[in-house]
Amino acid sequence: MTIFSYLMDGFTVALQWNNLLWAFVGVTLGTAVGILPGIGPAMTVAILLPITFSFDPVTAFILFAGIYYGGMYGGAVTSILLNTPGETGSMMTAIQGNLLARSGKASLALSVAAIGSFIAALIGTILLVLFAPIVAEVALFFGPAEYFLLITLGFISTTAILGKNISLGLISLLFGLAVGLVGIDLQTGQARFTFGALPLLDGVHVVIFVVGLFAVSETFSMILTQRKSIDTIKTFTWHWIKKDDIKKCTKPWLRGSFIGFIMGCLPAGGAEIPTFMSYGLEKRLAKNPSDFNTGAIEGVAGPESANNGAAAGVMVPLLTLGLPTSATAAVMLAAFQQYNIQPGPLVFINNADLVWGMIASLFIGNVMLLVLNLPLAPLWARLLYIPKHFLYSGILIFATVGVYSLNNSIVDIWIMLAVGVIGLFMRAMHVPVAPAIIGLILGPMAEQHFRRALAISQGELSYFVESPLALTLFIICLLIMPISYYLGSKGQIKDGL
Amino acid sequence: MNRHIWGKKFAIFILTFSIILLLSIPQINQGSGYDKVGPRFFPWIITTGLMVVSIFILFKRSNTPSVTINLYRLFTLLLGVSLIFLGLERLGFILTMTLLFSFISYQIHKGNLLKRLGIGFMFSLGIYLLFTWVLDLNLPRGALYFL
Repeated sequence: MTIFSYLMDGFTVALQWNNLLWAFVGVTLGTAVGILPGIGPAMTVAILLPITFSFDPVTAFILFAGIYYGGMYGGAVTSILLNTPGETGSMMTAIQGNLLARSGKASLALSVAAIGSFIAALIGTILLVLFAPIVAEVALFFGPAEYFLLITLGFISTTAILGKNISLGLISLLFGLAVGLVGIDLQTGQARFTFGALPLLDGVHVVIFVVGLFAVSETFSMILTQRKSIDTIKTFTWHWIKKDDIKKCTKPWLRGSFIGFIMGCLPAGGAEIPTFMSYGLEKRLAKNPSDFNTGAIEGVAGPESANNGAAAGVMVPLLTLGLPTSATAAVMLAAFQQYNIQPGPLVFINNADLVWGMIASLFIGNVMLLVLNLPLAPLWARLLYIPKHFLYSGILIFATVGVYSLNNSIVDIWIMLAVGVIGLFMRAMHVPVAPAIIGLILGPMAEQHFRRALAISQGELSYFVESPLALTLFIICLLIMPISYYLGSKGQIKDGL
Repeated sequence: MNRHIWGKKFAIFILTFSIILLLSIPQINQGSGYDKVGPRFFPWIITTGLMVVSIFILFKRSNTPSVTINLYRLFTLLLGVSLIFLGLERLGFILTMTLLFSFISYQIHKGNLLKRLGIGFMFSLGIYLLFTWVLDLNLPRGALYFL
C-alpha cells in the first residue's frame, strides 16, 4: 500500500460522522483553551485523558489532535488582543500582533494569524504524511541499545530546551524518573519506592501525575499568587484582509511554515525556537524594518506560521519514534500509553487506522479551524470575560472527576493533590514540568531497554555503540546538549531579535 | 521573605526527598535474576543525580527571582480541599463538588455565597449527569442516591 492509499483509508475513518463530530468538539475546545490564558492544550488534553478512557482510541486521538491544533490557533487571539501568550509558541506573535491591535488593526492581525495558521498546518501535515513513514521505516531497525540512546536523546534535548536553565530542567527530569520507578520492577517483580503502601505497587498513574502537575498546580497557583486580570482590547473595528496584505504575508507564511516544521521535527527544536527564528528572519528581510516599531503584519505572519508548522513537525518524532518534543506532545504520549499503544515505527503497522485517521483528521480539523477562526475571532475574544474564579473552580472539578474515575479510588485524589502541590512549587521556582512527565513516561522504558541491551551483550557496554545507527545516536547525544543550550539561550534573547 | 530563598528551599526539599529515596534503596530486594543490572541500579543513578543537582542549585546564585507562596494560605487551602474530598464518598459527587466549586471560587474572588453555591450545584449536576449517563462512568451518589 502506498502512503496515498493509507491516507485515503485515514480519511474514511476521519470522515465517519462521530469522528467528524469529535474533531469539531476538539478544534472548538482547543480554540477556547488557546484563548483562555493559563489553560493550554497540554492541560486540556491532560484533564480529558481519564474522561476519554471509554472512547475508541481513534476517536480520542482525533479529539486530542483537534485540541492541539485548535490551541495553536486560539493562542494567537490571546497574544494579539491581550499581549499575553497562552503558550510559549505564541510569544512572538504577541509582539507585533498587539502593536497592530493597539493601532486599531486587531482584526487584520487576527486574520493574518488565522490564514497563516491554516497554511502552515496544511503544509506541515502534508510534510508529516510524506516524512513520517520514512522515519518509521528507519526506526524499524532499532534494537534495545538504539532505543535506549534515542530515549536518552529525548531526555537531553527536552531538559535543555524546556526551561530557563539546564539544572532546573534536569531536576524536573530526575524527579519524573524517580516517580517512574515507584511500583513493581517489571523484570524482577520487586517493589521499589513504595514504602509499604499497597496502592503504590502499581506505580503512579501517568494521568494522575499529568493532571496534578498541570490542572491542580495551575489552580493553586492562581489562588496563591493572585495573578491580576489583564487589560484586553475590548472594542475593535473589522478590517478585511486586503490583496496587498496577502502579498506582503505570502512569503513570511511559507518561510514560517517550513522553519516551524523542520524545527518541530528535531529533538531540540520544540515549539518556541522556530517562532523566534521566524520573527528574526522576517525582521531582517523586511522592506521597511521601521514598521516593526509600530506593528508589522510580517511579524505576525511568520511566527504564527512557524508555531503551527512546528505543531505538525512535533508529530513526526512523536509518532515515528515515541519521542515528545513539547509539553502537549508529552501529554499525547501519556494518552498513547493510556490505550496501551506504543508510539514508534510499529504504530504505523499495528495501529494504521489510528495514525492515518488522526493525520487525516488534522486536514479536516484545519479547515474547520479556519472557518471557526477567521470570521468569529471577535466572538472568541468574548471568552475572556468568563470570571476566572468560576473557570478555575470548574477546572479542579474536571480534574477530580477524571482522576477519581480511573480506579474509583480516593487515594488517586490524594496523590493528585500531592503532585499538584509539588507542581505549584515547580511553577514558583520556574522549574519546567514537561521534563518530569517525559521522565515518568520514558524512564521505565529507558531502564527496560538498557537492561535488555546489557542482557543481550552479556554486560558489554560497547554494545551501545556497536551498530552504525547506535553510534550515530550516541554522537548526536553528545552533540545535542551544547546545540540545545545554544538554541535555547538564543531563543530567550527575544529582545535582541 | 527573600524571593531567592525559595529556590534554595526547593533545593533542600528535593535534597531531602532524594536522601529518603537513597536510604530506601537497600530495602529493594535484588531478586534472583541473572541480570547484569538489577532493580537497584537505576534508583542509585537517579537518586544520586537528584542529590547532585539539588546541591548544585543550593549553592548556585540564581538570577531569576521565584514567585513567593504564602505557606499559611497554602495550608488552609489544602486543609479545606482535603476536608471536602473526605466527604466525597458519603456526601456524593454532586454535593462535594458544589462545596469544592464554592470553596475554590471563594479563594480567588470573594462574592455572593448563594450565587457560588447555585452555580456550583448546577455545574456539578451537569458534570454528574454527563459522566454517568453519557460516558457511563461510576461516580459516588452519596446523599443524592435517588438520582
